[in-house]
Amino acid sequence: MSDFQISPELLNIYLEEARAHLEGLDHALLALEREGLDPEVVAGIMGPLHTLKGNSGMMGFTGIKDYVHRLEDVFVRIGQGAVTLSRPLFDRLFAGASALRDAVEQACRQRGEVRSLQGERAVLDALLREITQRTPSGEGSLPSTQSGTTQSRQSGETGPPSTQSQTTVSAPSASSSLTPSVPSADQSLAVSAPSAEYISAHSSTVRVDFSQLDHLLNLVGELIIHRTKLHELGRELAEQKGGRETAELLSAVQQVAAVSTQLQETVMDIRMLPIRHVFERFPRLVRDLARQQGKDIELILEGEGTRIDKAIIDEIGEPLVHMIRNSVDHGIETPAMRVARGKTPTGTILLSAMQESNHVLITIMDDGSGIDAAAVRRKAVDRGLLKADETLPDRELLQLIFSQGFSTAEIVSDLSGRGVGLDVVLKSIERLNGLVEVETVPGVGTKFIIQLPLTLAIISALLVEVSDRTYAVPLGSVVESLKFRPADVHTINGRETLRIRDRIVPLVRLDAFFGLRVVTGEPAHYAVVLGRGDKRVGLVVNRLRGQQEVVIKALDPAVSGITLALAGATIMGDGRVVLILDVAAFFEGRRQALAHGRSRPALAGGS
Amino acid sequence: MAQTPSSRKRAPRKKAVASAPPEAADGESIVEPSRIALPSSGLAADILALAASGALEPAVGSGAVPLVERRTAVPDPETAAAPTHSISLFGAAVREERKAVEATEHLATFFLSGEEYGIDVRLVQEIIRVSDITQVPRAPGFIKGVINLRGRIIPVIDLKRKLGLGEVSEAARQSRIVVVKVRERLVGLLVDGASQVLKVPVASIEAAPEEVVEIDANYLRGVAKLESRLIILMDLNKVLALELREGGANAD
Amino acid sequence: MLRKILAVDDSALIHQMYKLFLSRYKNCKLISAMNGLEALDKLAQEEGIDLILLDINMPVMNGLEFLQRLQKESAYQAIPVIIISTEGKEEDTIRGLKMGAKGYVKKPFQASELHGLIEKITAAG
Repeated sequence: MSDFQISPELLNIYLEEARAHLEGLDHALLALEREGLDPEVVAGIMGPLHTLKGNSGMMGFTGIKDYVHRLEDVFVRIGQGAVTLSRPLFDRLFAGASALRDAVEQACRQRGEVRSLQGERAVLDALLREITQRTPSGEGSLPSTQSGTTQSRQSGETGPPSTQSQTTVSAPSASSSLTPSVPSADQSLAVSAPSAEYISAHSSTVRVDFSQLDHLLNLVGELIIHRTKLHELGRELAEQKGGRETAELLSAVQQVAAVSTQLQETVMDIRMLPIRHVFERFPRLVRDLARQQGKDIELILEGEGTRIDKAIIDEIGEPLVHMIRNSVDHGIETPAMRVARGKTPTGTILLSAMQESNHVLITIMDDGSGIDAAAVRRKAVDRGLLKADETLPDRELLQLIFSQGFSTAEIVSDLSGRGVGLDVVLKSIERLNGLVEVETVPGVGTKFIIQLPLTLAIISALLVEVSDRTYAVPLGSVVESLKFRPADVHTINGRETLRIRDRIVPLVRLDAFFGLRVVTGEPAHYAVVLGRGDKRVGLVVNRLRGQQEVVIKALDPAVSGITLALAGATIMGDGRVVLILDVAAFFEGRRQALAHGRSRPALAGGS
Repeated sequence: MAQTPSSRKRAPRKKAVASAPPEAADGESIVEPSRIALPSSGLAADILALAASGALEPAVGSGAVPLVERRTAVPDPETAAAPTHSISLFGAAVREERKAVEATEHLATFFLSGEEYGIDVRLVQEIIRVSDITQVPRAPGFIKGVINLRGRIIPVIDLKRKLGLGEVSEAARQSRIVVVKVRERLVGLLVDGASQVLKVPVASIEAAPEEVVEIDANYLRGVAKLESRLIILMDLNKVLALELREGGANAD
Repeated sequence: MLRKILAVDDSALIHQMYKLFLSRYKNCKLISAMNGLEALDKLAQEEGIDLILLDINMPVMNGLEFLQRLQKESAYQAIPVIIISTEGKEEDTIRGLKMGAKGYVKKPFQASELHGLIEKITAAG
């Protein structure tokens, strides 16, 4: 019978902490593998392992607890210099770390230990036996797990007493005094050596459930909506009435506006986390992948402190994993091939993040074999994405690698996953209102540049009227909006287009697109021109209704799954729900239309 | 090397050098065969006294008197009582709602085409009047649209359309939206009218007879026969199965 | 009559568990600190702390150092301290006891074990 119930909340807290500790474990192993024995690295991991052990025990995960205990022992030995740091050793330790992570995740998912770590434990036991046999026991002063005595680098001071204190309890502080008599309070009280990463992990922070932040943001969003309304009313009133009271009201409203703006900014700021959270798992990933393929790759991380909305952080991980896998699989060559090409045997992948005005740029650059534009062209023609005689500038040609089912690899390696190509990556990034571009020099390397907005939650939108409905168009994607006459529309290849200055811009009639009542007989229409990179598409609407900041609310998957062009919804000051258009949908349609050489049925018809 | 005051008796100090590395038992460490063992909890006064008397010396692999015997010398067995450290995760945990061995079912009922239907009241968050439903373009007929529920956008499903019973009139005064929470998601069910919340004895529930009910038997859990009325029990999870899957109806 | 308990541990999980375990003490305020330094801050801020639950292994300032500082302040000397111990760190526990901690309990522990110890220690005064 248990004293208490393992609630989901408890499991969440345990899991979050455990994940952080396991990350630390990976990093420590990576550092040791790359740079050899560093007592600080070892000392730094002892604390997290210890906490993980204690926590696992409290949750009743004894198998995990025992395994971590073994790991502690191994690290103690490593710290003593009693272990030869070899590749096979690290392979074993990394495998163990993965197994441990697996066991922890499963235990939390199943609310009870499922995965046995017996096998892995046996590996560590064998390892420890090897070590103990090779070196005599009781050498020098032992750091950590043993006692509150000093670390190995301070062994000089506490030599003899510490050895004795292992066997008896009554050693140095034998007298009735309560303070230890071993020299220097600081050193003797050193239980765990301070390590930068471990220290910075806690202290002046508060743990908050992300759903609470979402809730807070919702409230702020509503506040903004009402504030806007208040502002409008205030102005109207001022125009009509004037007078001192009205002036005071306006002034008060302005104060409210100022404060609520600050509130909004602060809440948005709280949601911003350093991208480090995503980048952290990549060194390990690259190491494993490189090992598997017999390649030698170094991953350099830059700009890990760059901050981005948590909602984006949650979503950007997977696409980045795919792209990095891509670089490892198809980008970086084997050491032999690299040397043959006059390159260093070790390949480099640079993953960097940087903020630029109001977006974040994430770059993945490798010095591998690059992408052969000619090969891309051939494939594209093969797949019917391009006509044999069609020419495209290189930049656009390269973008084709993001098309569905496109793979430039001769061998589809199972590492990248079957069918998980760059098209999925593109979709994920577009879902985040982002863009991705690729640059390459054959034989030299490839660079992917992902552009993401800083935040998903609040955007500026252009409100438009279509039939009798109102929709919101994300302003970030709007290049311009203009009035046109039916006579201005030219139909080319069955598609309606508009000539805007020196460009031909294809049109999408939103009323037809959405299957709404078509409003005819109006003397003019409005076109909202969307831009994505070089491309342009014009959305035909009945009226423009002004700009506004809107809080994006998610649509239930049941709804967003069935409609193709909705990014979410927002709530107006009067409580009305207005749907937000998904800009990407209108560009996609065009691409597909290109590919299939026909126009979308919904667009057929005259002006 | 400090010695303890000779006024206290001490067992001869033994150096814990293991002749061969011992097999690691569960939870034990191979590396430090000389580790001190402490009971699972204790008071300072007791432990320090024991320590002084040497009773806490390591036992493993050193040939000293096995610790088990020592432990019994430790006073206050209550504090050291818990023999296992394992915490049973679950099973015995009792949820308060289940305490009353379900002799009754707690239902929320509503009307569709004159028939009364009931669903588990625990699924119902609230029942509201029909407000502006924003239509979603190109949605299947039974998805009426979305509404603003205190800042949350939730989909509204016309239950009659979903079940093939016709259509609910948005405009009718008695129409209501029953807001349910299924698998962490909120969905609004548009119905002809709301009835009440009531408890029905489990004994009054039987299988749904085919002739009585028009909708797919799959969606039903049975019928509750009360004196003057019949309540058809609906299995909401089945009714909303498609919608609850990621991506909803698109996936078919 | 326990009015305020100060729990010092670097793990948020343990703090959550304390919240559960100590909920039986009605009208008792549970104060948390993530390391010894924070704990000293809390001691200064909150008056009338009746009991301290102390983890040893913490960053910034560990439990033993905290204990030492505690002993130096006459105002805090009398506050009973329970050391939350772990396997493999028995030495530290013993040292803590010698430094004046009134008792200890080893992780992993049951709520009842903690309660039993608390009652003994606080009853003893």
